Formats: sequence, C-alpha cells, structure tokens
Amino acid sequence: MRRPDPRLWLPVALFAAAPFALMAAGEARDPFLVDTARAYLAPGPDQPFGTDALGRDLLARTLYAAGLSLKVVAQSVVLSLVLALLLGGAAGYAAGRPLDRVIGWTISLLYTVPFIFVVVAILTVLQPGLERAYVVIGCIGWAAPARLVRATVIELRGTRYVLAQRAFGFSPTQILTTTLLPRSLLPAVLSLAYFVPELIGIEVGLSFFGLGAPPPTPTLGRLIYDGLSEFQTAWWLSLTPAGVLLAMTASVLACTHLMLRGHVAPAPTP
Amino acid sequence: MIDRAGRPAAARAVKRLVEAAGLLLGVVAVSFLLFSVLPGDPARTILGPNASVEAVENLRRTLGTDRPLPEQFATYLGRLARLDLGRSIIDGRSVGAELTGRFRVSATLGLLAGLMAAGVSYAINLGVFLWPRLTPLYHLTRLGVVTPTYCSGVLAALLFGVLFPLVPLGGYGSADTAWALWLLPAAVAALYPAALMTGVLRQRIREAAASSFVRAAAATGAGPMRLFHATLLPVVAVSWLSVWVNQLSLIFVAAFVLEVIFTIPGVGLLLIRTVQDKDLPMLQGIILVNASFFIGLSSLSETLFDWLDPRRSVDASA
Amino acid sequence: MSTTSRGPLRWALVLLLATAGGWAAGCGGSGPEPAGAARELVVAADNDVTTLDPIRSQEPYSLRVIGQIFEGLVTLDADNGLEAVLAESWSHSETYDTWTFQIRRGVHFHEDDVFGEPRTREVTADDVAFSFERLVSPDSYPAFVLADTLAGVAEFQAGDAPGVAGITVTGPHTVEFRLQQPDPTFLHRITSPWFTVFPREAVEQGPDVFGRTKAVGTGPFRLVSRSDTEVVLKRNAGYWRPVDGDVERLVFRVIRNEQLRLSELRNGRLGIMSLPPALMPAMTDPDRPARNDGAVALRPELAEEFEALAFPTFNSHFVGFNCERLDVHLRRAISLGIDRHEVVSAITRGGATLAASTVPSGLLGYQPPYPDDVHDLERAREELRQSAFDPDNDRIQLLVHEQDNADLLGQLLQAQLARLGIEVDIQQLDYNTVVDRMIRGDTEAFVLALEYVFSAPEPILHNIFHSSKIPVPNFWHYANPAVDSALDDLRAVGDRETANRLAQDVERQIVDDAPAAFLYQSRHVVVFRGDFDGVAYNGHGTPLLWRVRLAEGDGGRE
Repeated sequence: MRRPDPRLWLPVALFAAAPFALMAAGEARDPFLVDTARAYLAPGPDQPFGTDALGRDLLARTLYAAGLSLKVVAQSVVLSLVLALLLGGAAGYAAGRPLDRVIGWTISLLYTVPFIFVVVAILTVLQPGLERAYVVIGCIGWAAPARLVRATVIELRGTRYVLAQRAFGFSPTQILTTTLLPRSLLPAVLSLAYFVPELIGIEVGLSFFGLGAPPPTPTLGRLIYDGLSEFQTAWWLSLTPAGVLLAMTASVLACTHLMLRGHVAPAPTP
Repeated sequence: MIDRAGRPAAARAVKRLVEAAGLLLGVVAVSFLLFSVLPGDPARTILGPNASVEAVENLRRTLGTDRPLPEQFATYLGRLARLDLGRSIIDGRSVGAELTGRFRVSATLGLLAGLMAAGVSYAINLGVFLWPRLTPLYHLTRLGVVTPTYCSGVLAALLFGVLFPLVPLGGYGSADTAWALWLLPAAVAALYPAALMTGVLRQRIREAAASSFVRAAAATGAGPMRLFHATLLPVVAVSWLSVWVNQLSLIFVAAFVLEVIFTIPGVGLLLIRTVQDKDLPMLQGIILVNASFFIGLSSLSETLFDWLDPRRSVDASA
Repeated sequence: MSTTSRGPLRWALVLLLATAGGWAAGCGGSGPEPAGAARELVVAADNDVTTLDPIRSQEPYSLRVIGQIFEGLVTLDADNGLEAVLAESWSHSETYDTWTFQIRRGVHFHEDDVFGEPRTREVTADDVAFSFERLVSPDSYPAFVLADTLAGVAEFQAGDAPGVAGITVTGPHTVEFRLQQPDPTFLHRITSPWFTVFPREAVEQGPDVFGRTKAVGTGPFRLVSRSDTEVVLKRNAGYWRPVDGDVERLVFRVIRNEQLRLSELRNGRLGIMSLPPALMPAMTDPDRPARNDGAVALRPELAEEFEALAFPTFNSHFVGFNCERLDVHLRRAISLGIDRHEVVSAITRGGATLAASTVPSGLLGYQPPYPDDVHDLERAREELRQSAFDPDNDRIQLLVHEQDNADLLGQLLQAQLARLGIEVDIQQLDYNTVVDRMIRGDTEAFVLALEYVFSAPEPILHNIFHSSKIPVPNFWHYANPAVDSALDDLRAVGDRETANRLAQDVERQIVDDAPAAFLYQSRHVVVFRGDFDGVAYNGHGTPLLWRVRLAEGDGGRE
C-alpha cells in the first residue's frame, strides 16, 4: 500500500481544529446573553445573523452550535467508519462462514429496529449527554457502511488481482489491509459523509427525550428545527444556521472527494 | 465448500426462511429488552398527572405491567405464537388492525421515494454517460444531502404552498387524497438516497468502463446507449441494487420524519407517541412489522441477486 | 458475458420488485371526491385527534371534537356561565352532599346501527348513571375529578364494589349523586367535555370501535368518519334545541406543523385555527397588542380577510418547586425575582395575561389576590440571604419538556434568576418523564402548565394544595395545616362571595409560601375568516361551533 500523500493531512488537521475554532468564535460573542429588548432583530450590522426570541445573538449561537455539532458528529462518524471497515471487511472476507453470519445478523438487527430508539434506550440506561449520545450513534451507525464494505470485499475477492495475491502467499490480513479495505473506503466514507446533516438532525429527535444537549446549549440541528417554527416571521432563525450547515456539509463532502480521488480510486484491473 | 452453491434452490430458500425467523425472534427479544428500560409508566400515562398513586397502582396490576420482565416477555411470546399482536396498553385498540393501515401508508411513501431515488440515479448516470457535458448535474444531486430531512421537508412544503396555493397540502389520511400529493414528501425522502446511489453508480460505471471487456465491447462499435444498457449496467447492477435495498431502511426513517411534518397517518406519526407513552405492545408491533418487511426484502433481494449474478453464490463459498 | 444472456427476464424481475411500491401506493388509494362542500367549516387541529372516547381523551384536540359530539348534564356557555344541557334542572340537599338531576325529556342519541330499529332512543337516567360509572372506572383518565368527591368511587376502583354506590337512578329521568363530603361547587366539576353521556350500546362495541370509528352522543354534530388526522362531522338533524348556526359539515383537520397550518389558512383551506405563541408575531399587529376584551389586532394584510379573538381559558403556567427540597426563603426569592411582564411579552407574545397566583381570574366572579406582578428584587435578595441556599456553591436543577414552550420559558427564567445570583441548570425531558419525576419527588423545580377541569376556585385549590393530595396532584409536596383547614372549611360555604373571599385568602397564603412561582394564564387565540359570525370558545377551550354562521355561499373550503 502506498503511503498517504502528506498533503492530505492538511484538510484533516483543518477539520480537527475547526470545531474548537468555531466554538471559540461563538463564545467570543456570547451565545447565551439574553436581552429580550433585542428580540427578533433581523440581520443587520450589529447582529449579522439576527437575534432570536430571547434577543440572543444568532451568529454567536450558530458558530458555537456548528462547532459543537461538528465535533460530536465527527467523533461519531470516525467511530462508525472504523467499525464498518473492521466488521464489514471481516464479514466480507469470511463470507458465508460463521463470523459473517454473526456480523450479518447484528447488522440486520440494527437495521430493522429504528435507529433512534435504540439510541434512546441505551442512553436511558447510561447517563444521557450530547457527547455520549453521539458515541452511541457511532456504535450503531456502522451497520449501513459495513454492508457496503462487505459487498465490495466480496466483489473484489473474486478478481484475478486478489487471487494472484493469494497465490503469492499474502495473508488474509495483508490482502484486506492493502487491497480490499482501501477500495471499500470510498463507498463507506461517502455513505457516512452524506449522512452528516442527518446525524446533526438526529439531535433534535434526542432532545425530545431529554437526551440531547441541555438548553440553552445550542446545537445546529436544534437551531434549525426551532427556527423553522417561526419561518414566516423570522426567516433568519432557520435559514442562517441552515446555510452554515450547508456550507459545512458541502466542504466536508468536497474534502472527502478530494482526499479519496486518485488515492484509492485506481482499480486493480484484472 | 461447494455445497452452498450446489445445494438445490429449494433447500437454500428454506434455509433463508429459517434464518429470517431466527433474526425476527432476535429482533423481538432485543427490542423488548431495549424498550422495557425506557422511562415512563403506561398506567400513569393512561390516568394522567392528576390520578392518585393508588389508582395508578391498581391499574398497573390490571395491565400486568407490575409483573417481572421475563414473565411479561413469556406472555408476549405466547400471544405472538398465536399470531396475536395484542392490544395497545393505552387505549385498547388492536395493534394488528392499527398497523395494517398505517404501514401501508408508510410503505407507499417509502417505496415511492425508493423508486424516485433509483430513477434519478439511473437517469443522471445515463445522461452523464451519453452527454459528458451534463456532469454538473451529477454534482447537483449532492445538494440534496446538505440539510436534514425535517428542514428540507418544511421548506419544500412551504414553497409548494406558495407555488400552488390552490392545491391542498394535507388530508393524507382521507380517501380523496390526490395521487400527486405523495410526490412531494416522497421526493424529499428520496434526496439522500438519490445522491448516494448516483454517486455509487457513477463510481461503479467508471470502474467498469475502464475494464478490458467493456473497452472490448466499445471497440465492437456498439452505440453508447447499447453499451450503457447491455454491457455496463448488468455489471454494476447488483452493487447498485444492493445499495438501493440498503438505503430503503434509511428512506423509511426519513419517511417517518416527513409523516410528522406533512401529517401523514403512517407509522412515523404513531412511533413517537408510542415511545413516549411506553405502549409496549404497539411498539413491539411496529418493530415486528418493520423488521418482517426488511428481513423479507433482504431475503428476496439476496435470492434475486444470486440469480442475477451467479458469481456471488460461488464466491461466497470460497 | 454470461449475465447478458438472460438479461430481459432478470430485469423483468427487478421491475417486479419495484412495482411492490405501486401496489402499496394503490392501496393508499384515491377515492371519489366528497360530495358538495356546501356550508362546510374546516377547523385546524394542532395535533392528532387520538380518540373520541371521553374516558380516554387526554389532550385538547380530541376534547374539542368530543365537545361537538357529546353533551353532559351541564356545561359552560360562551361567557363561562353554567348552562343546563342534558339536565333540565337540579337540586341539592341543604348540606350540599346530595345532588339530584332531572334529565331532559325527549333528547335522543344520534341515529346509529347500534340501537337496532328504530336506530335511536331517548336518553334516560340509566344512561347518565352508566356514563358516570364508566367515567370513574379504574382506567378512566378524568376519574380523578370525582375520585375524592363521589361516594363509593374508591371501592369501585379497587374492585371491591360492582358499581358506584353514590350514583342512584331514582326514576326514568331522575338520577341522584351522593358525595363523600359537602361540595357546593359539584356542578363546576362536571362542566368539561369529559363528563358527557354516551349509550351503553355504543361502548359495548369495544375499544376498536367506540371512540375510533364510532362516537354516538346527543350533541349538535354527529360523526361521519374519523382518522387520527381528520375527523368529519355533520349536523345532527334531530338536535334537541334550536340552532342559530348554519354549519352543515364540520371537519377537524390535523396539521401538525404550525408553518404549514398558517400557509393553509392563507390559502383559504381553513376556516378557524388556533394561534400558538410561535405564530403570534406572524399574525398579529406588533404595534397594537391584544386588548383585554378579547379582540386581537391582526396584521393589516390579514385583517382584510381574517379576524382574531382571544378567549380566556382555565389554565395556569408556572415554575413549580419541590417544597421538601427547596426552603421557603429560596422559593420566595425566586417568585419575587421573576419579572413576569418580561415572561408574558417574550414567551407568550400577548397570548396570555399575567397571573401571580393560580386560580384563573373571573372564575365564578373570583378576583386574584395580586392583580399585578409581585416582582421585587429588593425583597428577593433579602429572602435569598435568609435561605440555606449558597449562591456561590449551590445550583438549582430545573426540568423542562417539549410542551407549552417550556424550554424557552426555562431559558428566560435561567437568565432572570442569574441576575439574582441563582444559577439554574436546565434539564430537558419528555413530558411524561417530568410528571413521573415530580410525583416521585425527584426534582427541585419544574416548568409546567395545568389545564383546569374545574370551573370553580375551591376544587382547584383543594386538588393541588391540600396536603392529602401529596404526591399527586400536590406535586410540590406542599403542606400547610392552616391552608388545609381553610380548604376543608371552604367545602361547606355555599355563598359565592364569601367563598371567593376565603379562596382569595388561601391564595394569598399560598403565594407567600411559594410552592410555585405562578406566571401567567394563557388565552386561547383563534383566527377565523372575517365573514364568520358567532365564533366562541368557552373556558374549557371547547369551541361552540353549533352557533357559528358562515358567510353566504361557501364555508372554509373553496
């Protein structure tokens, strides 16, 4: 396997730093300062994103929320990705054997019980909290990408390239790590990256059960959701955080594509 | 090793059925355990915040929710074995009857969205293949995944109200629902899977197009239309369709969210209330119907894929 | 390539899989358009109409429909005065512990198959007895209203008695209620749409039918069809009293998303909708706040087509405390430290009136002890100093939930109390869990709203502040012997003015003991098409739709 291009670490480092930078920027403007005399101000010079029902600065809240949501979602996505590659790869390589059966069974189980209620139930037993919630989500969210990984591994295993590797005496672990998993990375990463907005939105569902971030901590999902109920009077309450989410997701997707392009794409042509 | 592929189709089907039944039993057990830890007390929910402690205890006894968990589970399994989904703890309505209608509504929405997603991913890839100038279209589909479902749902609905002020947006429960009304929530539910499937299909097609036999087929002078349908699509069909089957579960989750926004009387609308009320029989019923649907779908698709791509069954035994 | 040889057949199968969608869609089904929508009124419901069975109804949306189909012995009219409905007259013993009702003759249930031929029958005293017995049965939601009042309910609920000893049918049209204790306000316990009369034949159809596909009462409208998202009623041709209104077909349409509801109203497909606080700024004129006589000024662009009214309803919004966990000085400090004017303007945006005590103003002529805010930072700081609460180290945990804007209210209170030096941590839970924890005493403070079923001050106060009601519905675990005995004494006072004065004294004491900081009483604000006449809601939030006159020609739907 080729060493990753060092330049690829730049966006990774940026993404790792972004949550903290965003949260700090938000805190600098005080996202919690209530001033009802300034309620429902439309975007203007003093409040670029407007203010909410309690007169809080929406720019501050959005920045803080974006950082917080990005942080917890990134943790959860990385966790899911690692689990998906490990378990999906193992299942694919051992297709048809008991290991595959067990993993496949677990995937199906996670698939058929609505996701959010598994999270709700687990969090009720553990201590609730935003960070913990997203760890639990990460521990469940591997099911969908794992299926993709498994399918890719099965497909590739039959190629002459892999058969040749096997003939040369490569061990299964070697074949998995050097050939099969890198090639399964793309669909797995894509399916998770595309899921980022939905993952941010899940927090709304959790907050109904009291399992999300306690008020007044803003999360991006909650800001958009609450803002939508006042869309026709105060459009900025939903559209500005939604715009930030859009920009955030778009850059995550762009970076994913950039990082994966040319790096894992060349097909081991037969 | 050869036995799996060599075994007669009927035996394999039976095996799949047994596996599916095992999985279903697992789902029932796991979800029972999961939901029994949810906070809340159905007896308190029925009687409300004003009822006395004694009244609630009385009712708990009548309902049997004061029983030990294994005993409740055994009772539930016993009823299930007689194909009885039971009755709602909260208001006594039959779970089976309630779910039949609601699941049909959710399935309509979910499958419609699924079809739309598949159609979009096919059409865009065909378009880009035939006319590479359309490539920006492919990037456009990604826009569908930049906001959560509830956000795109509400915005789409409001836009619809502005664009078509004369078309009622709602009344999904009644008999006179216009067919076209389903298209809007279905399209919103299809955004995410359409983006993903378009991406996966495009990736697969590019890989396949680079392979020797496709280049050979192209060299024979087959037109791009024929090349796409007769040579490329069959190669990538299985992985494309398995993504589709995979996505259906997520589509259904999105459909549940949209049911809440558009007030469509499907399972999603019922689900939240059921969890908050801790209405276990209803909740288990929803899980069971949902699980049966997806397990059935996946067995069916596995069988279908084996047949579409005979390599798979041989491979699987290697 | 071997895959291409059997291609067409395989693809046919793929299509087959795909058409499963078509099947399901077909079953979702489109039917014929409903017959002419003449004189149709469409009322928006904010949430699912879960049931039409009075004993199962837990939310206002189904109660509003139930109030159209069913009638009780007495109810409240548009001015919240007592109105005789199925009871033609009544009398009580001198000690107010026996109440005898004469049932109105000639009132018939809605025509329905459950009666066999001739498809309806007259309402008798037996029906009243049957209904009330069912209303206090062990799994009835409204049973708490009579559980501590009507004789024999406890035995009946525990399964020790086959019936309720306190209900006696003394003649074909006479029924007698015997009470555990005197209660001059008994009539005001049974004015809500819960305490209505339904026939045994319909109930015996079982829980899948009664309240779901069937609801047979005596009200001005009868059920045509019901789903969780739409209920269709039509005028009851055999209604027992003359009707001013002209609504022939009445539709309750559930639209859960408030923004979509507003867009449907503007597009002319709704006749009446309620305004939640989130929509107040969208609809009302910011320069002209709601007046006390109920008129609400709409934005100019809406005022041409629509009209808005605010109706007082019986409720109380507050932040409650657990008296065993927070000392009285701290509770007082919080109550005095809250700026209620800011709460009312920021949270309800004109949809409420400030109320520093709990009993709704105007209830049977009752006037609250404090007409304005009790906000006093000076005294609040003094109380805080006397409290065991240490502002430097201690924090209060406040529970909020998803209903009644509780989370927003919690955040405003957090900011207000921070100014006083009290740090508050908010925990958001679902409503049922909050109630559960309040009852278990596992909370320090909680945001809550109570809708009052009782339309008189005494039962309200007794129900939530008497120490015998700990832990439910005396959630605050509040016990004051002086208040207890005053409440006990109140049960024998028949004179309205005396009772109101004594109730006022009790409330003054309660505000001083501060088991809760009472904040406001929300009003039911409704918007309707300007050409409608006679739109009114009573204090239970029940719309009196049989009085509504639509404009010439059309109804709510075009």
